[in-house]
Amino acid sequence: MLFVWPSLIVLLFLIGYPFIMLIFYSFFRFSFLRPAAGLNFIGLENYQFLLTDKYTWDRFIFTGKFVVMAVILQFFVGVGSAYLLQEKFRGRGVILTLVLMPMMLCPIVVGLFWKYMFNTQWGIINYLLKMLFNVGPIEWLANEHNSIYAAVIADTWMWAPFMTLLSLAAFTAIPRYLYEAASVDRASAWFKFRHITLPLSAPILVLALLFRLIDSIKQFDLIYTLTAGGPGDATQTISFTLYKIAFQYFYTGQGSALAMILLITIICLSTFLIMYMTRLIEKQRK
Amino acid sequence: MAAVHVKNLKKFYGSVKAVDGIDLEIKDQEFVVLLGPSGCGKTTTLRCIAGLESPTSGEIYFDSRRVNALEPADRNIAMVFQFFALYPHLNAVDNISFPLRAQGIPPKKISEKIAWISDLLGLETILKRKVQTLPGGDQQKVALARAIVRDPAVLLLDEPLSQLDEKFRDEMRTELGRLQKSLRVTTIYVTHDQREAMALADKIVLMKDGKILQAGSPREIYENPQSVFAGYFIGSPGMNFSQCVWEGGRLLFQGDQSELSLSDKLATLLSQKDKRNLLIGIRPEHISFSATQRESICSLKIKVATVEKFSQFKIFSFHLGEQLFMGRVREEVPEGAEGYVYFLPDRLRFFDAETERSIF
Repeated sequence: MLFVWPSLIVLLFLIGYPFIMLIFYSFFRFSFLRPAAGLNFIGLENYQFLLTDKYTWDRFIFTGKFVVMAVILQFFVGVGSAYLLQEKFRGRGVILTLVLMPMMLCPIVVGLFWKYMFNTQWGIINYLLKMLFNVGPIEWLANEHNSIYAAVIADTWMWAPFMTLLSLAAFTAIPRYLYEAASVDRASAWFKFRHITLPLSAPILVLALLFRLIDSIKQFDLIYTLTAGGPGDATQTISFTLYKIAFQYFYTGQGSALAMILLITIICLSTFLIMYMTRLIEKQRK
Repeated sequence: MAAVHVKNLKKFYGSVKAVDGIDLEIKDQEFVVLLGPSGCGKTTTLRCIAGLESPTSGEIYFDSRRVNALEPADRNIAMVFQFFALYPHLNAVDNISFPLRAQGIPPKKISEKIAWISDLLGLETILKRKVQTLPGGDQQKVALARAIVRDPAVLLLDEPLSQLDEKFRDEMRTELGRLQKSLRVTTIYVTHDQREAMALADKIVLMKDGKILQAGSPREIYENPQSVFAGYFIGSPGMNFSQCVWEGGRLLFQGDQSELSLSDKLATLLSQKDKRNLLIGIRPEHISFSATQRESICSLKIKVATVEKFSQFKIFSFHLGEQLFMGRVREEVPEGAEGYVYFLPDRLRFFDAETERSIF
């Protein structure tokens, strides 16, 4: 047992200490930049403020919109592409690698080059839209109504491959003879998808959904480089707000409280999904 | 109802010859069993007939219609798979009625057919249950119902009983035989279990290494195996074999050179064939044991090695030449006893030692 101690101590410091300090600071008015101003205990005042502040709520609502749109789009693109990539065909390996590449890039880099692509005057998106559909130019990032769609598109481009990967894993685990029996019975492709593919891959798809949900709520890097929360605060997700509070204004106490609120929100959402997924798995295992 | 003709079917996977020139003639309403060990090509043949695999070369005809280019859905076949292959989230009724709904049959007719098949297979109690909650035997019954309910031209079964436990297997085997006789549908059944084949088949097609070794009624194959493999594979236990030498009018066993005295008829036949190195074959059920010598020919003095008791018979083993022989009798055989075994002369079979083909 002794040899476990070094790792435990490291873990304690890297995870345990920051976490406990987070909870600690959330009950105080305190700033890292002005430690001399002191540690003022204010109890639940940080939480009270954040939960009743209209501005904060607007950020939550925006994040909700962003997350729902992004995750739904990623789900359809991911599952759809996995469906198309199921069967072996020539060049499948290459195409699969290409499809999965966006996921392997650094979010900051992704945000940057989408920023260039979405540029109103010389971005390639507007160029293609004009050439193919004679539409535009669309003001993507400078327009407060369109910027959310730009963020959703960039996020989907980056993370749909994750859905593709997990869906593909789930699909390939389904035994072929189920599809063969359906072929012999003259089932349509839709019937096979609805009654064989979906039910048998549901637990993994829900798991993938869970991952994407949690990740999207925490989305920061992409927003930071793509829009910096802008224009104004039109694309300011709650994570971005947290960044501002903690590292621009340096309201450490309030930032800690917001981080706690976020954590609790994510835990609640995850619990629901995990319960649903467990129920699905149990139904299947019988 | 359809007759099935397979002409020179070949299926290669790269350099692996799964099926290497198969010719099959299956009569309308016949129950044919493709029998053989794992990897002999029986399932591949079945899947080619079903249309789930495309042959490398060869022709498949249903009646006189060439079906090579047809999809499984267009061949009017039904298939029962080894692992049941039921639609997981539907209940039994929905599983069975699915192919009918896919064909566009009106709901009233569907209900009639469900009632009929449910009565035929005894499914009333499980119709509404989700198939995943059913035990293996019931699942396979549902799979069978799904196949039969659409009145196929050919019914294909791929080792349907291998996933069931012993008791269910015996029940289903009887059920299947009865069913096929009353439905009179052309049936092709794949299995590695020779008892199933012997019990169910009108014709057994014995396969090995992608080729047909022998095709015939169960009785024919049992009584006249054309190869050592056929003798060995059929029967529980299978035929006993030993190397022996026919020399100077005498039959000598390899190893201890003990002699088996033969009837005149047998001796004449062997001299006619004039082969020296032989394999002698005799089925366990055609060997009897007695403490004293009762017959003067086809009888040998032996010592019993082991005895295994089953409910209806006993299997005893003894050394002969270099081999261990098995005998199957109804009466008690004491272990370690010394006595005499008697081989029924009409049941002795002889095979060429090199080619392993039957001489007679």
